[in-house]
Amino acid sequence: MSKKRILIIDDEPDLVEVLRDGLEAQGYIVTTAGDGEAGLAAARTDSPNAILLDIAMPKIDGYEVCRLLKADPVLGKIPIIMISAKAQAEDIRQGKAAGADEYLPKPLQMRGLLKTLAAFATA
Amino acid sequence: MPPEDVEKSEALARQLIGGNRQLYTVEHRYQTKAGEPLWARTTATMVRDERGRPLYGLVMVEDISERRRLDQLKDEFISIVSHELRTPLATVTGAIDNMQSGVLGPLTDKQQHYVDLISRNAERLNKIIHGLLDLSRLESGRARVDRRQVSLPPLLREAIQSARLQTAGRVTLEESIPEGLPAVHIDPDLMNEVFANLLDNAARYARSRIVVRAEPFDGQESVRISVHDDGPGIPQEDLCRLFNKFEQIRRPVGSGYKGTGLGLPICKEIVALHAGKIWAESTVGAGTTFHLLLPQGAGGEAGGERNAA
Ligand SMILES: Nc1ncnc2c1ncn2[C@@H]1O[C@H](COP(=O)(O)OP(=O)(O)OP(=O)(O)O)[C@@H](O)[C@H]1O
Ligand SMILES: [Mg+2]
Repeated sequence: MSKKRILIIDDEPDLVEVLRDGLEAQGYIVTTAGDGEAGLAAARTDSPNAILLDIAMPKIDGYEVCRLLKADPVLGKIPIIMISAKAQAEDIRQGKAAGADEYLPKPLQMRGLLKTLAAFATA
Repeated sequence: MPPEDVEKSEALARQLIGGNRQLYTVEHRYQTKAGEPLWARTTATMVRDERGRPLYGLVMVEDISERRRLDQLKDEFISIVSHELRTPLATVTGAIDNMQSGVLGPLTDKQQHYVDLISRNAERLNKIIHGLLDLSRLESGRARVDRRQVSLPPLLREAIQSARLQTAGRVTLEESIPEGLPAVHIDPDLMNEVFANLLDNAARYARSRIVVRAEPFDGQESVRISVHDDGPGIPQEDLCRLFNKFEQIRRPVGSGYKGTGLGLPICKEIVALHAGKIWAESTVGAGTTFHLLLPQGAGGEAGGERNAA
């Protein structure tokens, strides 16, 4: 089984570092982008198996990134897991409405994240 | 006034005249002639003669628009703050998570101890943030409430089952829940939070046994649910403080558990939204019972006895 590639789109460098360490320790290849615009570009060039997407970001927010990606015939197939500090039921509904395949509230539990990735980062 | 509000008020007024209710309080949104929203709180009661026949109705209407506006500002404020708090917290728990799962290699015993301690406290902080946000929405009446006819036995059994998993055999959970219980008009997700917190508390304090009982009450008008534990009990003078925010009366000995003290206030708000009642009875040394009264059907409407509960 070849290594799966995960793209993290989040504007918090500290959290990105931590997530990267955790995922690499599990054998994932991790690429990152610090805002929505860079994220859209990276989704094209990095060909990830799944995307971890923050919501509150400068320029283009996560909802919009999600909508744009899901509208694309090729990129639309990449599973998107939204990760956000907006953790109330209402926020989760909104994330799913934007097309997210899964929504994990921050703080993330690494165990839960790995389980979700194992389920989604398959193709 | 929206038509469903008119219906609600009429139903309440009929109950008042019929004598099924002493007093009601509702909050409604109106529109001024200029098209501005206006919130009004109506309190109504019936004055009767010595033989209980209605003499006249007493109605008080207050303009509460300003309070509503402040509630909304408070909600927004708490919602922004909680997002800002959770973001750095996420990095802390992520880093600790990595250390716990050995990403940085083995830890010494003392390091492991510190890591566990940070993890526990970060989790507690997260719970407080969550609880504050929930409570603020409930208090200002802006929580999403999705009420429907719900059969209680499966809902209760599910809550009991997850409590069983949590207690891992340390206490036994018994139930007395008749199948023929009348359905209640509730938001199952919200009510599940109430059950979960009562069971969580009971499990923390019980010596060996928890009993959950459900029964029709007041004819078939409402359903009473009670959660009993054989724990240390709560002194009489502390009973009335239980439902205050951040109130933690006494910690279970030696458990090191630190809750948020927000569980019961949240329960109280949720129950009040359903025009129900929640209260506790306790005997020091013998145990504690929390009772929950849920009116059946849509009769007791949201906000009905918000402040009277
Ligand atoms: N079954 C019980 N027996 C004895 N004391 C209780 C019982 N249930 C609640 N209490 C007391 O009431 C306090 C408040 O309970 P509440 O559920 O509001 O908060 P908590 O349980 O401390 O925190 P959290 O719900 O966030 O875990 C508890 O700290 C405890 O002192
Ligand atoms: Mg509690």
